[in-house]
Amino acid sequence: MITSDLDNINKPLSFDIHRLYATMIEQSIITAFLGDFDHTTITTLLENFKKRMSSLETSTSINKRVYKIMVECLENIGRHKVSKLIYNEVPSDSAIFLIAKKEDAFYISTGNYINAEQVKTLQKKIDTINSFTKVNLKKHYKQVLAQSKQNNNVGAGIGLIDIIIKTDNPLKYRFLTISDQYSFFILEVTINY
Amino acid sequence: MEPLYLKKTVDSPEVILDHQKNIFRISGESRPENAKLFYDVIINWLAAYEKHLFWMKGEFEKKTSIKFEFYLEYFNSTSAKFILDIFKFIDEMQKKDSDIVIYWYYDEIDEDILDSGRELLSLANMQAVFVKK
Repeated sequence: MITSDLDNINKPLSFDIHRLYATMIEQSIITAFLGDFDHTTITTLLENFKKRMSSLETSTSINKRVYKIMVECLENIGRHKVSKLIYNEVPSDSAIFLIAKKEDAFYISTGNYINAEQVKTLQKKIDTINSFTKVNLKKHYKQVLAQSKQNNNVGAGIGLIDIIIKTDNPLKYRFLTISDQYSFFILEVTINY
Repeated sequence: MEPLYLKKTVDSPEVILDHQKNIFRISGESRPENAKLFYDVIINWLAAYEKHLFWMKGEFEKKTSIKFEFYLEYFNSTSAKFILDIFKFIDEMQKKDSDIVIYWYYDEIDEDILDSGRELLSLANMQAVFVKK
């Protein structure tokens, strides 16, 4: 009996979960999630953040702002993500999300696969809104909202503008080329407090 | 016609559209999974109510004074488009000589929602009474 227990203890682990844990703690991550970002999952992540809000020591108005930006970031994943259901060569269906609280700011970072064709359009969109002043951003927001009403294209285009208006910081991004067909899109949002 | 009552859920606001009690209120958080489905119910009710008002006026010469209250803690960018639709409906009713005024409530600690309201109203070219709660 004793021998077999020892055998179990000495068996190598398949995952170094402590290293993952230590990295996440070191990076001041509040929550990280890997998986499918459907509506129910998004709701769970948001409810979880709401519960954590009171223990964060930041002001309620900042926490509320972070919450609102978090909604748009999470919903944004679904808007751009490529799915294995349609493109079965996509390396993975999973996207990743994390929220961290450091000394001066909250950080939200998301990552998901997109079609290589989308890269140029998306990059241009982000560069354009990053270059706008707050006044012009609000003008642009109204234009896009009015346009999307006409085209009946609900959801597209407005989320990123909304995020940038609420953060008051430019959006940081990367497109990692995975293959001719796919890129990994990283979006990082900073919310100072 | 029947009043419309929708209970608040984890992702959708409470809706009270009760012409009998003269309560018109949308309050809470709005990020429904299917915003079109959710807001179509409201828009359809308002369309029916507009007709109802028209008949009321014809029959009784009665002018109803309406306070249309928005007390939203949060709405996502998709919901913004539908809230705009509701504003446009209210605008139409104002133009048809209904005494209807938008009240936009906001929390003292949440000036963002005041900003969002101002933006949406200016987009619709409309006025509202802003109330700090």
